[in-house]
Amino acid sequence: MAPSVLLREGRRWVVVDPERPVEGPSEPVRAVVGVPEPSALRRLVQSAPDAVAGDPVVARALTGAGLARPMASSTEFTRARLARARRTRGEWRESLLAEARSALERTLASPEETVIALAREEERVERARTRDDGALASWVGPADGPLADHRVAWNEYRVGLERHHAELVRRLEGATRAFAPNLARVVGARVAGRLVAAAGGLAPLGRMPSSRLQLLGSRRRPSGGRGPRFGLLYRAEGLDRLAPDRQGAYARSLAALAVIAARADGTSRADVAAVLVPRRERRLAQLERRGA
Amino acid sequence: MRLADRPKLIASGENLYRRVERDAASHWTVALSDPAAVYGERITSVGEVVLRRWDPSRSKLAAALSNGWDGPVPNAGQTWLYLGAATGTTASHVADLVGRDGFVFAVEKSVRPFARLLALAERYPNLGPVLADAREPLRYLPLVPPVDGIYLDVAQPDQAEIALANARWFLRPAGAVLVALKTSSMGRGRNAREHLADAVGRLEPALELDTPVPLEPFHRRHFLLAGRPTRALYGTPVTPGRTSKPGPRVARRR
Repeated sequence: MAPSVLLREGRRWVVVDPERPVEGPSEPVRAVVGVPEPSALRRLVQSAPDAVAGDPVVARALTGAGLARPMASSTEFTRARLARARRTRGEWRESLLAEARSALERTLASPEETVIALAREEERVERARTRDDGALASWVGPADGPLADHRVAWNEYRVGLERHHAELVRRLEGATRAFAPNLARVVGARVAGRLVAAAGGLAPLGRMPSSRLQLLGSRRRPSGGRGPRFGLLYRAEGLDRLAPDRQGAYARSLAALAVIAARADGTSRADVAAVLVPRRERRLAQLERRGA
Repeated sequence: MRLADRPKLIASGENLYRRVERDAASHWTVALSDPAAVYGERITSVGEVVLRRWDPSRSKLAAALSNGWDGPVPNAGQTWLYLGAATGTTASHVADLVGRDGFVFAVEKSVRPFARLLALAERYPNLGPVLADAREPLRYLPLVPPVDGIYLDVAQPDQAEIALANARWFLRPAGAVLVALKTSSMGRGRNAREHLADAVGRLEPALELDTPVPLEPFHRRHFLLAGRPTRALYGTPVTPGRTSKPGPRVARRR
């Protein structure tokens, strides 16, 4: 006789007897909502003493509750699942959509996604401002008349956009300082936010070698000849204090410090910036001396 | 009628139409959503049915069909697991193919594309979005029942392992696996043919594969692999698929 199988199904855990597929509405044989407490798990298993674990997650939970059970063989598993896959399409769809909405909501609200969204938006608004400034530079028009009126209205719009941008930068910097404090102190909060966004998160950023981080966001590709020296790091702390021929060397050192900071932010969250910032300043002073 | 002088659309499956134009064939699926267009594709109608053009340069499955592939296309009434659905361009066509009696479970990992996929699913009667990493089938095991087919389009170096891990947990013994293999995401050390041979070698014992279909000229260095499960697939131990990746290198002291 085939044993019954303990399966996870949506947010419920059910014991399924593959010999007796449930007829009609898909009421579970025995169900618990959510991840069961050890006591609930014990009740669930006691009602089916021969139950085996349907997947490694279930097996781990059973072991954790002191109820270790063998894993179902793949035949037992498939038979139990086929016996249970009786929900209607509409029911599947409704439960999936509800699950997806809440998962999306949870993820988007996380500090990491907040930083990514703010950094992308800040970049977009900044591009809009730059385009506008360029258009203004080539603007010609008489001192009065409808064109002059337009010019006044445009100016108001630009001041508004500038204020909006400043506000956005403030928000981005705040969010980044809270989310990646070390990285924010080493390269500057705004650049740190953009780096996280370009990498797609703090974990991918931390996994990068520093040479990759150094070029993150650069348009040119590294090639045989002289490649790009930096991408987003162009705006990093300290770079503007150096002569152009020293900037590449500085970007290299800074990238090395930045990955250390990113890794600390993603793992221990220890205050490594206390060590890294003095090292950055030392390197900067050294390069300034050599440049002079 | 303007349509009269065009080549005719011929039904080539329950929800699939074909039109032969000069030397190439275009494919159309019966639209399930309302309004019909999902991503700005062309719309036409044959009698009562509204059809959406399935662009081969935007969808690898459509490219395979255009290249004469004749394998296990998603059929009316089937349940499919779609891994790497992104914003749902191809997933919407697969949902069209399985029709109202079928269902497509669409797994996507990235949040932003997923938000668009969810919006699409809200108006598609048979599309269920799952926000999860295809490498971790155990996470969505409680949400997805056994399926008739798995379509994988993830552009990862370990595509073959991801396909197998999911097939083990979800595929019915009579089902089919389709893998849209993107060889340029599999590392730079080898060329497309070598990557293909490598992927075939990984899939082979567990799946019985058809001849790989190159997706040129629509998608460069891509292939479509179609296979059916063998006993070896279910015989292998069912472990989740994450293969080891090199971790962050430890910063050395100068």
